[in-house]
Amino acid sequence: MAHEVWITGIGVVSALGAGYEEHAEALRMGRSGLVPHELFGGREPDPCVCGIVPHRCMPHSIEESAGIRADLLLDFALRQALVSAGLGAGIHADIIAGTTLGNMHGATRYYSNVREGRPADPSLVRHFLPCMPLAWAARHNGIAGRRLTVCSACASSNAALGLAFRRISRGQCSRAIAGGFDAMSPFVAAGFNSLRLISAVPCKPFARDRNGLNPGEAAAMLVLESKEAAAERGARPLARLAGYGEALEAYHYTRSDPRGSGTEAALRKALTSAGAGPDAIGAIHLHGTGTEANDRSEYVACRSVFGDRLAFIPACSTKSATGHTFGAAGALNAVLSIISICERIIPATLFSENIDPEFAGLSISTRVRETSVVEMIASSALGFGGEASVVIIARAPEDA
Amino acid sequence: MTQRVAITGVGLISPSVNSVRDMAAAYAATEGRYPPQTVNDIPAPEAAAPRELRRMARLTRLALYAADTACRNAGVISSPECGIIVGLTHGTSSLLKEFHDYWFDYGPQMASPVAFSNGVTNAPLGAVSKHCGLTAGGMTVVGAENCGMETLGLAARSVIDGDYRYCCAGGAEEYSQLVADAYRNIGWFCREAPPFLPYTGPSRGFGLSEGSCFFVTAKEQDVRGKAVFFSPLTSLDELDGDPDVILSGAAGGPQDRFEREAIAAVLARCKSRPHILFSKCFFGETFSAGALFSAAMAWDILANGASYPAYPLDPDIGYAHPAERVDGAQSVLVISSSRSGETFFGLFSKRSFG
Repeated sequence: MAHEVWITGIGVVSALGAGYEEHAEALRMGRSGLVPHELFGGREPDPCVCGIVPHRCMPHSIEESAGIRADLLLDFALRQALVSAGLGAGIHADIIAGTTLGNMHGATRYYSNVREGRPADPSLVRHFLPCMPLAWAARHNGIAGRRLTVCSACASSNAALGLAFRRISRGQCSRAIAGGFDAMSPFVAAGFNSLRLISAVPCKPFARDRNGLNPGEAAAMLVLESKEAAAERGARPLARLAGYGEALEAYHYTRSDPRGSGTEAALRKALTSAGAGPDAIGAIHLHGTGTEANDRSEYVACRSVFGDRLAFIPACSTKSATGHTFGAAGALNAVLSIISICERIIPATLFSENIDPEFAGLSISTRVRETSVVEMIASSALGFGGEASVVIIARAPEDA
Repeated sequence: MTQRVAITGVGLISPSVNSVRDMAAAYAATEGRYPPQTVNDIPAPEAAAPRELRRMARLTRLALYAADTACRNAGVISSPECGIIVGLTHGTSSLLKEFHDYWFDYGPQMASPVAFSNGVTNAPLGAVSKHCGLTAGGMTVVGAENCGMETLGLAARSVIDGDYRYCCAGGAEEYSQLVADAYRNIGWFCREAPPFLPYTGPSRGFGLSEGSCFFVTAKEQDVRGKAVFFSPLTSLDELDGDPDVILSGAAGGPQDRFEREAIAAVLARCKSRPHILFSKCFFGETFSAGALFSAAMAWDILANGASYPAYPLDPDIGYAHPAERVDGAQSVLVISSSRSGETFFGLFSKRSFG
C-alpha cells in the first residue's frame, strides 16, 4: 500500500532571501531578487542580471566563496529544513540532492591556476566531484543515512524529490531530506551566454519579447516523511508531495522538444502517480525560463494535457523573481508552490505583461493573485539532455 | 527473499578490451601488469552520425558505445519503456577544460557552446537517450568509487518497483590529465611501474584509466531459459549461502581499507572458501565504471563459464587462497567501497533451467 508523503519542513535560500517568511513576503509583494552583477570583471556579458543570495544571508562574495559556495548554501538550507521540521542533528534519514555542477567555480579556479603554472591547491580536487557538497553538509549536520547526488541538469532537484517520494511512498524508508542546490558561478553564465540564452534584462517568461534567462543561485531542501512517521512524533505537514513523473525527450541535447513530448509524458505520469486527473490541478508552477524553446514546449504540453480547461488554471513562472537556479530550480519551485498553497496566492510572473499570443489559453498571472483553496499544484522542471519532470504538491490534509 | 532482476544486455569498452567475449583472455594475458590508461580508438555505435560523435566529449562517446551495445544485446532500441541511469564521478573534464581555455584565452563571449552543451554532467544520458531512443525517464547520479554499483542497484529497484519495464544503467569515466594531476597532488596516484596488484604490499595509489560499462536489466519473470540475475543487497544478512567468487574493487587507493573490511566480513560468514578476484588490476581505476567492470566479469563467469585467474594475496588479508582459475561458479558477490567508506554489495547468480 502506498504511504502518504508529508512535507514537514522546508529550508530555502535564494535571491528572495532565506526561509519561508521572507519568500512568502517577496511573493506577496511581487518583488524580484534580480540584480545586475559583474561576474567577468566588467568584460562582456557583464553586467549580468542575476539572482544572487543577498549579503545578509550569505556574507561571503561569490569570489571569496568560490570553492565552497555550494556547500554553504546547501548547509544553510539543510539546517533550516531540520529546524522547520522540528528535527535535531543526528537523525537518520535518506538525503538526496540535485545539483548541476556542485562547486564548479572552485574547479574554474583550479583550471586557471593550472594554466598559469601556479600551484594548484590539492584540496581543489574535491571540486571535480559534484557529490562532495552533499557529503560535507550531511556530515556537518550529523545526518546518517543513504546519500545520493543527482545531476539531471535543471531537472536535478525534481528528480531528487521524485526519488525520495518513491522510496517513502513504497515504504523503503520513512524519512528523507531532498531538494537541490546550485551556487552562482561565472562558468554557468559563460556557458548559457555561449548558447545565446542569457537575457541582458530581467527575464520575461512567456512574454512576446522574452529573450532568455537570468542565472541564479539557491538551495532548497524539504523534509519528507511518511504520514505514519510524522504522526508518530507529532509533526504536522506543511503540504503533501502527492505525485512525481519524469520522461526523456530523446530530441536534442539542449533544446526542448517543440511538441512538448517530455513535459507532457512527465505531467501525465505525475497525475497518475498522484491518483488524480487533470481536473484536480488548481494551479501550474511552470519551469518558465523565458527562453523561446522552453516556454513553447511547456505550453504545448499543458495544452495537450489540460485542453480547454487550461484557460481556467492559474499558471506562473517565478524565474523573473529568483533567476534560473539550475539544479535547485525544481525544489525551489516546490517550496514556492507550498507557499502558494499555504498563503493562498498565485505568484506574479514578473516583467511579463505582454504575454505572447502564441500561448493562447494559458492563464499566466502577471500580477500577484489571491485565490481560494488550491488543492494541488503541478510544478515542472526541464533540463538539458531532454530531461522533463513534474512534481505534484498538494494541500495538507485538514485533519493532520 | 532478496529481490532480483535479470541482466539482458551488457556492453563495455576499456583500453584493453571492448567486448565481454574477449575479456577473460585479455585479463589472463595481462598477468597483473599496470593497465593501459586510454582507449586508442573508440568505435562508433551503429547508426551514429559522425558529426555528432565529433562534438561529443570522450566520456560521452565511451558511454554511448557501451550503452548502445547493451541495448542492442537486450533488444531495447527505441523503447518508451526503458529508463536510463548513468553513474559518473568526474564527468567530462577534458571538454570543460576546452571550454575554459577558450574563455580564458579569448574572453567569455568566445566560450564554445558546443563544449558547454556537450560538457554538462548529464550529456552522456542525453546522448544515450537520443541515440537509443529511450524515453521512459532517468537520471545521472554522481558518486565516487562505488557509484557504479549504486547505479546498478537503482536500476534494479526501478525495474522491481515498476518505474520502468527495462533500465539501461551504467557508468563511464574518461582519462583526463587534469584529474590525474589532481590525484597525483594528493598522493593517490600510483607512480610506479608494474606489477599492479592489490593487497600484494603496501598501498601505492591507483592506476588511473578510462572506460564505460552498461547493463540492461529486466524483470525476472520477463526472461526465459538461461539467465544471469542481479540482486542489490542492502546488508550482508541478505546473503543466502556462500558466494563462489568475491570480486573486489580494491585498486591501491583509499578505498582499499574498506574493501578489506568488507571481504573480511563476507569471509567470516562463509562456510566454504570463495575465490577472490580483482577487476581493477586489469581495468585500472575507473571510478564510476569500476564496479560495473567487476559486474561484467561476474556476468561473464556465470553466463559464459569464463575463467579468470586469481592472484596470490598478501597474507595480511588473513586469507591465503591459492592462485588458480575459477571454474563452474554459480554465484558471484561484487564488493564496491568508496573512499569515504560506504560499501555496496551486489550478488550475481544464474538460472540454467526453464
